[in-house]
Amino acid sequence: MEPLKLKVSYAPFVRSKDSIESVMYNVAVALLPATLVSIYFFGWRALLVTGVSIVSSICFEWAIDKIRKKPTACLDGSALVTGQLLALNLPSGLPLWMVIMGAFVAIVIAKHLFGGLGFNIFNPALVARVFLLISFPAAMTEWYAPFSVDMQTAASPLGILKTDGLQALADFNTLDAFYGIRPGSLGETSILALLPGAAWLLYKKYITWHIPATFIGTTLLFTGIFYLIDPLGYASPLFHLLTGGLVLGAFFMATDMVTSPLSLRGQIIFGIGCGVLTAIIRLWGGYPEGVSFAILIMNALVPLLDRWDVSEIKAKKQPSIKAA
Amino acid sequence: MRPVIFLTLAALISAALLATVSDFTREPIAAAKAEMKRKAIEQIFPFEVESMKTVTKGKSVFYEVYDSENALRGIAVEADTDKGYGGTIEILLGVSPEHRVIDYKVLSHLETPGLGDKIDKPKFRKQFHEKILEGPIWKVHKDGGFVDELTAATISSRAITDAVQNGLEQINEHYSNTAEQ
Amino acid sequence: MKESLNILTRGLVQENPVTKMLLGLCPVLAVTTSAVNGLGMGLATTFVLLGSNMVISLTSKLIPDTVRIPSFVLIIATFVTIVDMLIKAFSPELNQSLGIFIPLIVVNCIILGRAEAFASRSGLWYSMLDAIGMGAGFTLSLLLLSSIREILGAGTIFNIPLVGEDASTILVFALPPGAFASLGAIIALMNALEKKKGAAA
Repeated sequence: MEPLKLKVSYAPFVRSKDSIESVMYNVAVALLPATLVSIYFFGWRALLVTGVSIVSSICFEWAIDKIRKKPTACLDGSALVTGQLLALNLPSGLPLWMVIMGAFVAIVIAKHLFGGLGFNIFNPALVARVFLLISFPAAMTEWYAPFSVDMQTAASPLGILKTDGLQALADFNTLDAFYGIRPGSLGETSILALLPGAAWLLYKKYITWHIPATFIGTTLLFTGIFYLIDPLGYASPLFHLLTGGLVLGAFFMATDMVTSPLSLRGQIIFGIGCGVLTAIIRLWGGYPEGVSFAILIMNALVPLLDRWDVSEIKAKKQPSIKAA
Repeated sequence: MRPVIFLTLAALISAALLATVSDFTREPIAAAKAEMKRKAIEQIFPFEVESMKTVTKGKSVFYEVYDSENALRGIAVEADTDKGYGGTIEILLGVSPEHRVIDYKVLSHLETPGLGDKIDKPKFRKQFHEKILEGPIWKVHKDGGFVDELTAATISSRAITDAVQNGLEQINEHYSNTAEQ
Repeated sequence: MKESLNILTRGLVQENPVTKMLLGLCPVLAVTTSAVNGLGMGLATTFVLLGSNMVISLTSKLIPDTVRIPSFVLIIATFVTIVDMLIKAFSPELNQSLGIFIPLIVVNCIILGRAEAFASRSGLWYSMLDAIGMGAGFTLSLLLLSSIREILGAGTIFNIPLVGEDASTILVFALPPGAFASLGAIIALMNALEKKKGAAA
């Protein structure tokens, strides 16, 4: 089992002098503009969903640490970020017991059943989102329009595209979509609010540009090819960039240190895979949106990509030893 | 040589046994199939089905339902649509002799669990009750018709509307409307 | 007597084909969407197991070693086909919901496994007890798994509604991921219980 030994020196936090706490709280701060904007757009209900998600995530973390007889890590910031990310992936009108169930799935099932922070294969917030989406498809696709007083539900742009086709999107406003004035989950709508946080994480070097750039670039390229072939049958790449959770997913979820590849080569393959899968699901899949499925599927390949890198590094460093 | 003889003998015994069982179950299987169809049809019609007649006209298969006085009480027809979200949806549509929809039963579908598969819920089916072919706009609400679409399952709702309309058209084509006589 | 009891009961927990030996998982995961399906599949498999174990135990001395496996498969396939026809004739509803998985009992490795590992080298009496014990263990596991999935996924048990029609059920349990997750939870629970028992003893 020599690859395992080598992997230790490649642990996710090796290139950063920061502790888990400071990384996590920086991510939380980076997500703060998106959270605040979601409360501005979707009102007190968004605040409630965010609060319940964060508090229940931290409580589950506390409880599971107690059960596993581990030093409590509920305030190390990772449960906070998971709760915050989960809320950003939910519609503002979701019943609160579903939010709590999502936090349970994220912390207990996706994180601790796989061994806890650093050992989870899948991004916990995304596992919870997909669990809720598959379990409660109606509640999870009841979006609310921003500033809606009477809690009128509306279809998201990607939902309209899937159900009624391109012609139903004639009044789609690109600038409004960029600001986030469209129905959708809390954090995915406002690209404007996501960008400062993404820039902060890049500046602090908590994430590198490789995954977001290849992820978004591949999605744009793939959807762009079909747009060029048949502009009346396929939506423009700009539409695909501004709708759904592409920006949120590419900067904040695909880049999760634990569940993304270690090497640059691995990260680029990971990003391209995410982009291709997202585009395929959006264009031909059963669900209107494919970002979360794409990231989870690629998460499953990360151990393989890492292993490939490690064995090649090993082979280069010690040419005398045959590959296991 | 022994293995060959053994396997041959075993296969012969097996074949003989299966032939016997097959012979014995042939009638019960046919009866069970007919019974399943009858049950499906009885579920659609809210009254006692006394007797049933299967009639094939052109490509359509109709099931005429009679009461104890041998009067026609309803007609059922198998209708389908390929406009479903996951592919073809097959329904069994039951109408009165006046060609008013009584109810339908979904025979097979590939719609999304939890969204589109609600097309067989009583609440959704009820909207079609008493509807006739001419008059109502056979479209979902969003497209200007009378059918209230299911939450987040507009395509499935459209497909069922299409299937029911398709069934009604088959019946109109092959049966004279007793209300018009 | 003690030996008979041991053979009869070991399939229930210690050597449960599903939760301990992880055999025959294809039908276990695929058909357990409702308790009726789980019970039906379990009983059908038990019947085939009983028939094949008995015949194989009686004929094992006649079967030439070179064609042992083909002979076993032939015997098993015969019983599966009989079960398939009987279900079609007398329980068409079950036939509709179990569909292709009844003919697929033929490739269920529990049955071939018991034939090869036990019935071919044991007497008739022990082989029958083994089939009943293993069949009961299989059926109980399926019943447990399918009940959990039906209650959580559909809000019913044996088709009896437990919640209102409009209530939200956790649909994922009715779908394949829920099958894997529930089975994993059951196996984990069984292992934990056994560990506890072992520590106490």
